[in-house]
Parts: sequence; C-alpha cells; structure tokens
Amino acid sequence: MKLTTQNGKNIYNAWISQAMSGKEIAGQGQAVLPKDYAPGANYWLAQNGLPVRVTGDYLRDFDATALLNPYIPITGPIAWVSYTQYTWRTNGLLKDTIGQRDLPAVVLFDSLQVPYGSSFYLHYAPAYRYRLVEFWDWSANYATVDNSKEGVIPRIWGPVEIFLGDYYDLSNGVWRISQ
Amino acid sequence: MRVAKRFSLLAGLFLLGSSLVACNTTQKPNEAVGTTGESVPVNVSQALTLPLALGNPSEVSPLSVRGLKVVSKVVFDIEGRPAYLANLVSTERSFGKALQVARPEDPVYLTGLLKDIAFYGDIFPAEAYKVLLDKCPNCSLVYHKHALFVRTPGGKILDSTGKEMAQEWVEAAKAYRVAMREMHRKNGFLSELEKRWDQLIDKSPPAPSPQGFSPQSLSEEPKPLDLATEVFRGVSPQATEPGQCLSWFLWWCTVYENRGYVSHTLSSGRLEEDFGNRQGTVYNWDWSHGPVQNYTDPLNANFGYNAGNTWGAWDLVFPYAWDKGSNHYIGCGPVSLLRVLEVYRRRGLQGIPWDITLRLPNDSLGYSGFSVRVPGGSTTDNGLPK
Repeated sequence: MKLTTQNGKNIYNAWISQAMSGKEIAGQGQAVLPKDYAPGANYWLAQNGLPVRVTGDYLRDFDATALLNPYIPITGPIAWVSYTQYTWRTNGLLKDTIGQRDLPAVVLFDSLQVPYGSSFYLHYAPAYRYRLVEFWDWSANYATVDNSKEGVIPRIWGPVEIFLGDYYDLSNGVWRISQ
Repeated sequence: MRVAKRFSLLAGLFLLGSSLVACNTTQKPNEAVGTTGESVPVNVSQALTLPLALGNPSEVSPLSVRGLKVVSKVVFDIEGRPAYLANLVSTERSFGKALQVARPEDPVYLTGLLKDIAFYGDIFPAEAYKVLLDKCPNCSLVYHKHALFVRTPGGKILDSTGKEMAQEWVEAAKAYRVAMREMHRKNGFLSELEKRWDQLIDKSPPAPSPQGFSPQSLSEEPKPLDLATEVFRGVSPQATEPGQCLSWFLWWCTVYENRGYVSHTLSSGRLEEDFGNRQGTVYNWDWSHGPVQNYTDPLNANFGYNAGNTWGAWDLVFPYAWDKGSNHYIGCGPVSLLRVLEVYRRRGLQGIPWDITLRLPNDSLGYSGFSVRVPGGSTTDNGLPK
C-alpha cells in the first residue's frame, strides 16, 4: 500500500507489514513490536478471510525508542509473578504446538549479530525444536534456532538452543497459529 | 530485523546513570552500581547441567554415569562479574581438555553463578567456545545477549571473528544492565529469584572442600563434579528401583525435563514446506508480475521493483517498498507468520484453502475491492509456491 510520496517517489509498505505496525528502522529493516505481532497478524488474516488466528505470549515489550536504541528497552520492571506466568505459558505453547501437534512455533529472540558487532537484531523465526525444565513455580524454556535448519539470518558460532527467559533482554516470545 | 545503535539518543540514560554513580560516594572506583550479586556454590551451578544433559534422574543410575564429570569454566558477564559457568559432561578432568575432544556440535551448557542471574543461559555448540579460546587461550569468556565474547588480559572485548567491540558499545551495554538490574531489584523480582536459588542450594549437598568458590581463583577452572561419586554419592550401583531418587541434589528429583521436535524434516533438517527466512524482495512470484498501481489484473502485470514502480499486490512476499534502493524488507515478523501459514496450507491444516485469495488493500489499510488468487498447485524451481 502506498503510504506517502517523498522526493517525487511513492513510498509503499507491504499490507501485512503495515497491519503489524512494521516500522522501517534506521534504513536497516522492518521491526515489529511483540505487542503488535498477534493483533496485526490477526487483522491481516481476517481481512484475507483466512480461518486461523495467532496466539502467543512474550516476556516484555519494547517501546518505540527501544527500536532506535537497543540499550533502553525498559518499559518497566518485570514482576516475578508475570515472569513465572510467562514461562508457564510459553512452556505450554511449545509443548502443545511442537510436541503434540508436530508443527512449528514462532519464537522471538534478541540475536546480537556477531559479524555486525554494533547492530542489534530482534528476530522472529519458526522453531522446530524445544527443550524445557520445570522447576517449582517457573520453567526454563529453550527453542532451537539452528541457522542451517530453521533458516534464520546468518549467525557465526551463535547458540543453537536459545534460552527464552532472560529477564535482562526482555525480548523473548512464542506464538503459534491455530483455528 | 536489525536495530541500529543510536548513541545520540542515549544521553538521557547516561545522565541518569552518572547521577546514580555520583550519589554513591562510598562506591569503589572499579565497581559497577548495583553489583551485589551473591555467588552460587560452584557444585550447585554445575549440577544444573544434569537435567539438560541427562534428563530425569530416574533414567540414570550411578553405573550408567560412571567416569563422567561435569567440567566447567567461569564465564563473565559484560560488566566483568563471574556470572555463569560453561559446562560440559565429559570423561576428561578439565574443561579445556574436554573441549579439545568434544565434537563441534556437542552442547555446552551455561548455568548461573550469581543469584541475580537466571539459572540458565544459552546452549552453544562446543565449536563456539573452541573458536574463541583457540584464538586467545589466556582470555576470559564473556556472555552477553545470546552471544559469546572473550575479554583479553588488556581488557578488550573481542567477538568470535576476533573483532574488537567498540568501547562505547561496551560501556552502553554495561550501563543498560546496571539500569535493568536496579529496576528488577526495586520491584522485588531479584529477591524472589534469590529465594529460588536458595531453595536449590538448600536441597543440594554442601560443596566438598576445597571446592568452595573463591574470587581469587576466578581464572582457573573449578573442580569437576564427578557424577557417580558426588551426584550419586554413597548410593549402591544396584539401587535402580523405578521412581527412586538417587541424586544427592534432591531438587533434581522434582525437576521435570522435556523436549520435542517437529517430525518430517528434510535431510537438511528443514521442513519441506518452510520457504525459509526470505524477507527481501528478490523473488519472482508469478502473480506479482505487475508493478503498476492497477488492481484490475495484478496477475498479468509486468515484473519489477524499482522505487515508484511498486504496489500493494506484492503483499504476500514481494512486499516492499520503502524508498531504500534495492534493500527492501518485509521484516522477519510478517515472514515468520507467512512461513508457518505456508506449512499449514501445504499440509491442508486448519481449513486454510489450497488457493489463497488475497484481498488487495487500498492506501488507508482497508480492502480495495480487488482480490488476487494465489494458486497453491504449482511451485517454482526453488520449491516455492507460485
């Protein structure tokens, strides 16, 4: 869709990106906030008459300044209760989607890109594998984001299994589509 | 998607950070604000490897783990605190030796070593550690934001490629963590986390002397944790009754480990239906042969993606178009959704039609009244749906 005209050129954004409030960040790509993922995706799915919807959970959101400045993604401190609830919900999403239904789930993680050093990437990608450890009142969840298998952006010597509960990053999430 | 650093916008945080420092007049010069994390006993941190590496204790016996050890190396956070252990399960007696004989893909588990750090960090392949330590054997390991670095004896932070991280990047990363930790501390998150660490420690055997963690020996590798004698200490190898908890780390008996994966992957490990992380606009989807703003016949229009020559019918994969030359992105968020949607469509799941009819938007995010049918029947040479 056409957004505006700049310097005599028409500026477009994809409908799906626009629906998910995808913003062009510093000329480097499109960023979708975790809070906009499910609502935006569902708007687009509904507009196109597709009978599925996105549900999911994320640990914490970034605000708009965080997308320009990766060092201040703090929209507020996280409480222990919201943290443990997040770990149980993502635990359930991974177990049910990947483990029971045999389908990929989308995970979000903060993938600091070693080759680029100074850049930060938030990345959403389908994950095929998970691992979890259930403690007394919270669970430690991992999703596998193997570059050669899940096709994420290139990472050199990055982690294969990503810990989705880092409360310093606050950039973890899991989503899936279902009816 | 990528997010660039914008240091000019950091002024506010730095002002805040420096005022915090200024108020704390008793602070030692080289100690970061809020650096008060209490250490976790090394043997407890090492034992956290067990659920990940061995699964549930009822599936393991003293006999089956005879000769195996958890060998570890201290990993620092970006602030320079000894925050994690990197652990391998091996028959070798030191982390360095175990790393040498490990296969490149063998998992190395990060476990927390401070009570304000999570129990776990990422699981890297052994190769990631080898690459760093081969280049700089005298360096200490650093883990920050899902990536490993080394700190040289001179204090430089190097990434896996050997590139030095800019000092301003390091300072900003430190300031961010300090600010974040202060917020977690103020609302009680960290005290709750510390209670969970204490539960873990209470249900663990005391660290056998001289294993106690001392700051003076940080550069050294901690003593290995022998599984047969220290995890199953004093237990007869015959004691293998089902459900019997044999571990001296009692918490392991109530911790549940579970893992799973999606089946029917190709030999590459990728799902056949997954078209991969294609955010760019370099694919020629036949129905998008038409970069003119004409909704009446989008399927038969001509292909092209120059600025000023694009339109909304490309929305499925040819999404683009900010005015950025050829560097066009739909973004990983929408692409991740489309990838999963495509898996569902090709498997005939959840009522997703084989031929998807996409409605074309007008410029106010509404339906333009025109649609385009994307047939699911044929694929391109690359296996992508046409």
